Amino acid sequence: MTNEGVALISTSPLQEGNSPVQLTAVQEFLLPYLPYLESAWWMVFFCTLLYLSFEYVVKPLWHRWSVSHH
Amino acid sequence: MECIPTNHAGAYTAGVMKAWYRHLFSVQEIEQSLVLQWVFGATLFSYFIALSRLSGAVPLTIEGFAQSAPACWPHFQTCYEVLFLHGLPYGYSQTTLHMLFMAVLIGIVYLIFKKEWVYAHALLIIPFVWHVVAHLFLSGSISGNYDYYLILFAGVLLFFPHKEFFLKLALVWFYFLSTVIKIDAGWILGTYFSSLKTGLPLSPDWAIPLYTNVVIAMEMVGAWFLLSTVPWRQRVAVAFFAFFHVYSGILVEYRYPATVLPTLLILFGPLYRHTPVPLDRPSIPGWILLGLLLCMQFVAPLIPGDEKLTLEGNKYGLYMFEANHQCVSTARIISSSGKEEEMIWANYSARNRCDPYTAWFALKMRCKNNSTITSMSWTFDHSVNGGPFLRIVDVPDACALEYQPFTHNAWIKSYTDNPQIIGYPLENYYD
Repeated sequence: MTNEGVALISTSPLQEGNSPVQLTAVQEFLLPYLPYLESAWWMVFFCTLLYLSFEYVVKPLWHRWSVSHH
Repeated sequence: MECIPTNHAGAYTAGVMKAWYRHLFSVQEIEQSLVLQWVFGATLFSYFIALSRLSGAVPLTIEGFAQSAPACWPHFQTCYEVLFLHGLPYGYSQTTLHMLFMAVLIGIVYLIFKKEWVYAHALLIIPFVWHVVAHLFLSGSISGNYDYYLILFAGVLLFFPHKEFFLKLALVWFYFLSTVIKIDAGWILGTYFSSLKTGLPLSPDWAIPLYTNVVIAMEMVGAWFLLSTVPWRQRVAVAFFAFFHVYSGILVEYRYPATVLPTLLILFGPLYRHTPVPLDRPSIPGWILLGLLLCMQFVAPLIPGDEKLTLEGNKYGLYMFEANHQCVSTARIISSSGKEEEMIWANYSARNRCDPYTAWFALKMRCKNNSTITSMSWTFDHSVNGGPFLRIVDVPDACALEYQPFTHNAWIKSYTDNPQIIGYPLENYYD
């Protein structure tokens, strides 16, 4: 905590009529799509995880198993 | 004549012990790999930096804790009971201990020079253990994500078989896991940086979402190309992350790049060679470790409520730049004599996490140490990424509260509880 911090917050933000920090035009444009963008990133995350599990674990294990049984 | 067999027996026992130790911790991998030897040196370098910070860390000392009650970890809320160091100017034990650690680090440098990797390895366990104990048990307010990186790198290097493979995968895995906290407005829209007075370094405000989403994409998908067998893809990935760490230093300064960048360049730079995926019995601990890290990263998201607002479970995974915080904590203390006192703690620095647990912990310590306090009403207002200040805590008596580390604490409100809007923040600073 610093006195500057206290002053910064107590002198302005709690007054009526203030608004959230201004978004840029690009952010305003993206804002309605935020839930979709979040879902899209989660999909990329889990698809990557799935692909890598296959590539790094399942495939080598399968290869080892098939070599030892043929 | 009697001494000769005794000496032989001693040398034989020492040789057996050394062979056993070498086998137990797979030290032969370090002895045979130039890459691992360089990583060993980079890790040592990181410990010089980490321990220089610990040698003056106030929260680790008895007096430091008594003065400001820095938070213990939620999983060990009585950490102050085991503190034993006295820092300057109250005593010399903290600095004395850390100068002993410096002697150990310098000893390791000498052993590396002599190529005595078994002894160098054994000595490196000392700073490793102290760093882990200090950061994960003795204090909950001194660690940063760079300490997690150091613990991971050193842990794999010291204790796990298939060291080179798991060091490479661990670094990529951390990039990947760090995106979990970035799937949020702060990074997708870039409001973390646009709500800073100074914006994103060297970037116009309109381009912030472009850069933040490129970082998410590279950490989530691009990082895996670090392990590629296709040279140009691998090189492009290395160049990106090297640039990323140098650039990030504009905000986070030296500590984070100094911990990660050398290891990145050693593992994936000119010495890079493809390391086959190990799936034998000795590789099992390495895979379990990576699985545990994945689970830890999801501790915060799995606790009901938005972790950016409540901060519950936040520090149990990577949390670097998870959100831009501002907060005001106000406590009204009434003592048995009828005296009233108001305590206001406010924060405008984006990187200060504004964790209600931290504020509560300091108040709780005050209740514990002052028996004349009869009640302590408390409010905590929190703004995330330039959004409104929300009153997420409003309780009649903070002294009566308890904090659970891995579940939701009902006294902390999340968005679904419709917390009252108290006001709006100004653009803030990264300080």
